[in-house]
Amino acid sequence: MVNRTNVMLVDGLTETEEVLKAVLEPRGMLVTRVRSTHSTNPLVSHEAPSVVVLHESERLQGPSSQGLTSPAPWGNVPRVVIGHYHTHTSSTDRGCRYLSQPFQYAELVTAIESLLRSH
Amino acid sequence: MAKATLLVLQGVDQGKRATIGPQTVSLGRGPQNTLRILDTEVSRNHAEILYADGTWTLHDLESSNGSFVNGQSIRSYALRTGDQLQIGRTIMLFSDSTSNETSQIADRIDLLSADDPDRSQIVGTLASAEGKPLSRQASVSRISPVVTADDNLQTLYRISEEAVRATDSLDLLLQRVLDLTIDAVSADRACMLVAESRSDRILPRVFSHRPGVNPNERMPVSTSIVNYVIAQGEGVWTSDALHDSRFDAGQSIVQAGIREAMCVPMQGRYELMGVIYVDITSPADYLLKGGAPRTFREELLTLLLAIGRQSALAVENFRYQEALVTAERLAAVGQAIASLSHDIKNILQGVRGGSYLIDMGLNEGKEDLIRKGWTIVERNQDRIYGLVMDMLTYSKERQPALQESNLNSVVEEVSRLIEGRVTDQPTKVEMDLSEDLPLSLFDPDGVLRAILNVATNAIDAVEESDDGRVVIATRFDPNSELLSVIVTDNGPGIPANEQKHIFDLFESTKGSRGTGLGLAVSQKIMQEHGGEISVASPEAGGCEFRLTWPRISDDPAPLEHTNAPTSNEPTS
Repeated sequence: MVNRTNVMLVDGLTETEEVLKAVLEPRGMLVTRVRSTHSTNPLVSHEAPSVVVLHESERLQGPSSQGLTSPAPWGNVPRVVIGHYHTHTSSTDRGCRYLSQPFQYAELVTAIESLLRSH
Repeated sequence: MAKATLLVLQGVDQGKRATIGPQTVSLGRGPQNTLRILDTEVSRNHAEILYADGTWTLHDLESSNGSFVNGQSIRSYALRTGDQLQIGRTIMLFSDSTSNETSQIADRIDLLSADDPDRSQIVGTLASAEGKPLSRQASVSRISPVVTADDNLQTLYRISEEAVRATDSLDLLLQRVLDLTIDAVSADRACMLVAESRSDRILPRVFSHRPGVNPNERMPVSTSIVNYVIAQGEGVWTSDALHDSRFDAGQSIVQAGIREAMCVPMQGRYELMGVIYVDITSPADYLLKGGAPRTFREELLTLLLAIGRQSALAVENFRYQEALVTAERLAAVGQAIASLSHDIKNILQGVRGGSYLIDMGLNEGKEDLIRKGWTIVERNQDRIYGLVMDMLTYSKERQPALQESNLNSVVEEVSRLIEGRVTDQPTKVEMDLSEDLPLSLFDPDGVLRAILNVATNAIDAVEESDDGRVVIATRFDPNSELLSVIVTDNGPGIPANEQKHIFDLFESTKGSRGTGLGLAVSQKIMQEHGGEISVASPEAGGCEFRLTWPRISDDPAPLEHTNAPTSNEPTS
């Protein structure tokens, strides 16, 4: 059995899932989507992801994406954080990219590919 | 021009304000009324308000359940500012704003400067010591102390009652207090000079006079006295018959027939809110015929000081409430802008996703990508349409556009609209339409939007389920004359602690997919129809939303009153 590259989306828009499936699955990747509210730790109940795309789910709570950019519970899995407010991620955290909504999907695809290349 | 307002304090249209002019205003359930009240206890043609000779009169039009003013059943009643009208279950506050212009008040007051000639001087002063017992003052009166103390307490009781009565205008509140003051101290004229909240200026705000006083005669108010009262914080009693050494010859009050005057500070908790000025005159011809001069008494000055204090507290409270409302309004505007920006950003993000796929499809010659992208763009076009319609529905003060309609047809239209949303998921949408639904007057576009918002939420709730099921049912209860639409789903349900907030504006449990407008809009539409929306969600899962509103028809007979005030004889 060959393990496919798995891009896991946590929360966010249906459109993001649809676009990534349309673009990445023809390239042999697997795109899955989970709701953080449905599982305390999506990593436990799903196939181990190669990259996680996290949507800031807090509604109107201000810059609250620190929890998303912190390693736990994702361990060393590379991640793209999509937020509503711009925050500065640590320059030493090479496993994390930050996009501020509304973003261009080309940027998201580039960020995912970049993380996959470097890990 | 004659102008009055009716503010709905209780009932279907709570919070709405209607401005009425001199034209006859009809009130009732029927569509032909100037003010339509969608209340099953209101007759089709219930009452009317006529304006003539400066008076607004409410006439009951032999309604089934009657009309009430201040809790009393009436046939015909001359309305005064502050009166509360009850028609069916709706209570409205009447405010006559015709003579409430500040400029008109200023025209009736002569603010006399120190250079103006006058002859009055201070006869006595009284410090505005808080809590000074009026009963003790009464004990030195020539009148029975018990009677005076009782009168004073009655006066203060009535003024306190006025001070806390529902009102939307500080001027109207002060006017009612001043009208009572005239009676309480037996003055001819009275005015209040109130400090503007954003400057140090003290300006005439309300004026009152007893019947019989020439209403065209301007009331002289000495700025010397006013300034003294403000500076010393004392109540002052003046007369033009005596001399007072505290004022120079050039200062003091006017001739113009004033015999005596009293001026007291309106001392609030933290600052001076203004002054009350009252006067009493004994015309020269009256005195020449041997009439005794009309005078004030010291206990009246004490009473006026207490009234000044009550008035100041009323002004402070009113301004505090006003500031609170302004702050809440600003916070609500900020929240609305932030929330709508968030929603528009999500829609824009969706459009960008669709555009990205279309662009890629065009570049690579892949039609399937173009179609997929176009589907996403269209979906977000629908979302922005829905958002705009919800915003318009929520923001507008509007009367539902009632027309005789079939509820089942509306539900079928909802079903057709949501069909497109479930083509990519295994969700089943079913209709359970009652065959006994009568035609009814309601706003079909509004009701469609109310049901659509609830049904869309139900579809979203079962989105991830493999056996998602949404049922939309219609019902009619002939006993209560209630129409109902029940939307049920077998999704995860809504936790009990979230249920009480789900109808609040900008509350959403759908994360980035929800605007927090949908259920608030549905609730508003139901309230416009005199109905309500409720939710039930058991712990085991699933959810039931019930939209219920009274059937309205051209049938003239309203339902019998169940909670009307005790009926009394007509009061006027």
